[in-house]
Amino acid sequence: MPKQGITETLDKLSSKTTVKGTIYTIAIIMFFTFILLPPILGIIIKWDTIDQIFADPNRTQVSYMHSTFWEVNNLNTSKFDVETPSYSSFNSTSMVNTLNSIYTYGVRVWKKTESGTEKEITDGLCVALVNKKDITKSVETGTWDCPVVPMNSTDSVVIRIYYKTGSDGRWSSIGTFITRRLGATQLNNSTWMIHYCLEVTFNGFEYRYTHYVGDTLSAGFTNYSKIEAFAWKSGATLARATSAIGASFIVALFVATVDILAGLPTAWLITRGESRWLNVLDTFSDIPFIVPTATLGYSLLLFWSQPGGLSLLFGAPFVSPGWLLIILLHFTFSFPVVVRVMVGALLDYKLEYEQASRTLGAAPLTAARTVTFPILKHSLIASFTLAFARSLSETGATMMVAGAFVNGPIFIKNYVGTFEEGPLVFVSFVLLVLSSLVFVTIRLLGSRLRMPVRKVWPKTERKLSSPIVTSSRNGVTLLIFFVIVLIPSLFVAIPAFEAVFTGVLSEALSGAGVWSDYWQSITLSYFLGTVVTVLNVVIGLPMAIIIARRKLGNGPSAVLDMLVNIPIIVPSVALGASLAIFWKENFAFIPEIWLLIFAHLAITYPYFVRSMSAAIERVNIELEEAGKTLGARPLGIFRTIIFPLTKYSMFSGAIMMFTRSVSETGATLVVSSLVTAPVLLVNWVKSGVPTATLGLGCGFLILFSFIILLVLRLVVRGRGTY
Amino acid sequence: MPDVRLANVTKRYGKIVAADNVNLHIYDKEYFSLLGPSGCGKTTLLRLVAGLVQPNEGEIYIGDRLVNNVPPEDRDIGFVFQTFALFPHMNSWDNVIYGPRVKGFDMKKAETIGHEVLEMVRLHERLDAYPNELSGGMMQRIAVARALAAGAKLLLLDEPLGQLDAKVRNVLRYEIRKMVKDLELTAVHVTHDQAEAMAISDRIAVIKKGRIIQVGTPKELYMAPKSVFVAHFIGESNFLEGYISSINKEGLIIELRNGMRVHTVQKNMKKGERAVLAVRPETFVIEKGIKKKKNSILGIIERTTFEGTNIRYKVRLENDDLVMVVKPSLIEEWLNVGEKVTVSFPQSKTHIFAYPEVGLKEELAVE
Ligand SMILES: Nc1ncnc2c1ncn2[C@@H]1O[C@H](COP(=O)(O)OP(=O)(O)OP(=O)(O)O)[C@@H](O)[C@H]1O
Ligand SMILES: [Mg+2]
Repeated sequence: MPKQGITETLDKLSSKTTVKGTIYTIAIIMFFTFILLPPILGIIIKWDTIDQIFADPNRTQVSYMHSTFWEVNNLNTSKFDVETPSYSSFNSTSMVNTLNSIYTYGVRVWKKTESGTEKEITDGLCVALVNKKDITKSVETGTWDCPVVPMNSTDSVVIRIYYKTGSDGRWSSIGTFITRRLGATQLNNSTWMIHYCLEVTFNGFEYRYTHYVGDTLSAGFTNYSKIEAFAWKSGATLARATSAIGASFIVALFVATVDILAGLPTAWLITRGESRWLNVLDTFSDIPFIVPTATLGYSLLLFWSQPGGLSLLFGAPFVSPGWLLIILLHFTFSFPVVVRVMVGALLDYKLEYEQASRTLGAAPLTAARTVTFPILKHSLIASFTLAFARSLSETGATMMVAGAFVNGPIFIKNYVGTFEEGPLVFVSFVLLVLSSLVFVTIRLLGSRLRMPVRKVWPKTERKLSSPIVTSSRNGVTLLIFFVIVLIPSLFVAIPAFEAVFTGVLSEALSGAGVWSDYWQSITLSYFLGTVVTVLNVVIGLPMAIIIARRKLGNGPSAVLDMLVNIPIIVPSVALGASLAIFWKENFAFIPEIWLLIFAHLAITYPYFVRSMSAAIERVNIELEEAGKTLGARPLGIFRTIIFPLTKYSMFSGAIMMFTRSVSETGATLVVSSLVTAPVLLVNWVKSGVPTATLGLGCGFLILFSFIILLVLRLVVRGRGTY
Repeated sequence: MPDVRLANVTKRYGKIVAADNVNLHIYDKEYFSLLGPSGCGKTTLLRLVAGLVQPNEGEIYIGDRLVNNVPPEDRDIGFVFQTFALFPHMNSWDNVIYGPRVKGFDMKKAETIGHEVLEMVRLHERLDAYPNELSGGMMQRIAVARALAAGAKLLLLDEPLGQLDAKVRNVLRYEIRKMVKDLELTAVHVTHDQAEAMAISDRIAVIKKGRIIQVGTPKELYMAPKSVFVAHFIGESNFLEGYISSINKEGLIIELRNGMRVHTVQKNMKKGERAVLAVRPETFVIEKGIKKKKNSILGIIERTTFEGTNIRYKVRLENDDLVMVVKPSLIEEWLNVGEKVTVSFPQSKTHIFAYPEVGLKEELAVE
């Protein structure tokens, strides 16, 4: 049989040291070039801006009016920015045929929040008035005392230019300009000098009044419409940054701890329970994975705090946006990580240890605490760190539920596209370093950490193992799972049922209207997920082996093990931003789809390598040695020993990667303009499509991913795990 | 008083019946073995007793207590696993006093027990060693020590010697038996090694495909196997097929292949019934040349194997049946391949069985 021939040839090849060496080397090179370095280099490229975080928070700036369009805070209008316009252009022209009329120009100023709300700073009247009557080009300057205006760091300032003629006296707008998000805490009290670059021409028939944003007034001089002494205060950036970082860590530690407390009983129930329904529970526990993160945030928001959710029962928003909702959200999406890892570990675990403990007189709880958990310590640590990292870096969903609460990723997001990249770089860097430190500490202490196995409270633990306690524990576990994890995750999709009874479903299936984009985006997402999963299995598997079997010696392997985590501790916006900086600035020729693939590779890689290396580590090396002595070649050993024993972990790693890729939002948005399904859904949320459409959109995505999961599940189905 | 009783116990794994309506009484302070080929359900029986698996039907009693719903930790047993299952994250000492600890003994008492059992298994100097630093024999002894330290009167051993080499195995099996006897414990020992079972057991249950085939002392099983299977599995037997040609006062007369007739012991069988005659290799008398006597058959030696203590002959009988004959190598004169011999056996040392319904080969198959 030719197939036999191929495996044999490969087996033989694999026993050559050069081949093995090459595979490992390639895996390591791929890791550094595609996974580890780009996000870090992205931060390093912008390193020189970091002193902004310590700089004098008061800024006074000259800002220029541009004719280019710019979208900030949902306003798509002309740009108002520090750079000088690069070419001469005008923003607005008006024509009148009244002879000799005097034109008056003025401005009104607004502050615009992230959500798009405008609040006027001037009192509804034009200020900084200037007059223009000569048929010439000139720069007229007016002044206005800007009062102190409190700002949010995501707010921007909108300037509108008006004119009126002396005769009719009605103000008309001729131009709107918007700043970036300023990252300011307040606008300072300062006297703005507002320069209008104006021209009046007469063609013998009518007068033409033009407002230039930048133009050559006379040879050798370039003049602009601009505002001088535009001044604001950033205000305690460092303090805000550190408190955001602190908030991130507190939330992450808390969430990861709760995840373990709740996830462990769930994993236990899934693997040890006897009911057939537990398979269903096992599969359901992946759902929060497959709901795109941003949609998940929206779904939780709907469930916990908006009219139509729990507030129906309680009359008022049950949980308002803020830290509590963030904690609920993070719990929801990191919980499945813990369950997945721990189910894998419990399935691979040799039950005899626990049985030995029971026959020696230990109550179930004692046996679990003193024998099973200590033996599974590495998996516990792995799931804790994964949950921790996930909470630390999630952005897309967090920003939907954060309200006024600012954690690290939100802080970073607030500075994306502001004047100041320093705070962004600073927080990304600190988060990266601190969480790496946390990981190293966990790694170092983890292997030394001894769980308290010597202390036993026979009576108490026996009571706690009683059937009543056990079944109430299971009850609480299920309740938490359904009420806090499952239902809120799916809440956004509920209107999908409504869609079934209206025309929305048939519209969707026929691909009419918005749905044609939808199907395209969903195809892109699954394509991306598949490519990324396959690529990562190929480059991640050798890495998992290197780490688990210490192929490079203890030290380097431990370092690699640590480095592998970095892409998941970098907040996804920061990762996206720095990946975009790195690839776009250095390799502009790379098509966008590849940028997307690189970003997703980096984000999902750690999930696979982590769970695989933990699983391989659990395979007794003696089995491998036994295989060797029986004449199996390295690949043969992998095929016949390691793969069958780690199958579950491998597939669950693949599932995590796939679902993570299909649902990733934060980095995808930043890296490319390609519209994946989650990006499309976010756009839908923003543009306020009907709930039935949105629900159905989410519903389809969840359903398809769920079916894929189920199929994978059936393929892997139990057996052969011991 | 830990005697163990199983009444009509059945355990199924899907379609596999791992324990099939088992009835068994293991007496107090008895060293009892469960013997059978691989996969016959020995471990399952032991785990049923330990409470590690639950029966589908039937009752299990330890002492006078019905333990069906009693969890393992309350059954007061010691269990030694085939792979030892020493806790990898604890050193020998912590492994050994795990039982007293989780049972909430006070630490003084726990430590005394720990020292006692370690003394017993002679491993005092390796208290700090972790399981992966111990040899197989040491692990086995720690595993036994751990089971003993929990203070149970019923010791369940699942192939406790299976992972060890022959020499160590031979020494340790007597050690275990001695400890069990000294401490007046009841022991249930699972093995597929009949020599081991014969050597250490007070009684043995022979199991096949989840059923108990026969229970008895080693001697009973050897001398009076009640089935072809037991005759085959305990010790060794030559099986000769035939039918009952006549019955007289002394016994049955069996006609073997090619009309050859031999005399066997009495058995409740009818004339004309198909039968299997079992004769142990060591029962045969083998002599050079042609000798005429009762129950003698001529044959030619096809192969001789020197086994040390014994010499083994493979003899082709004149009716074309093959038999094995084993003789002590130091006592008897050695015979050579190709020699014509007369093989005979006493009528009283024969076993006669009805021909198994499933066929002889199938009946003897161990899987
Ligand atoms: N957990 C299980 N699930 C399914 N089948 C099982 C399970 N445990 C045992 N069996 C089956 O039950 C039968 C008896 O198994 P058991 O382990 O009791 O045999 P054994 O006599 O101990 O074999 P061995 O000498 O190889 O240890 C076997 O056919 C086995 O495949
Ligand atoms: Mg067994």
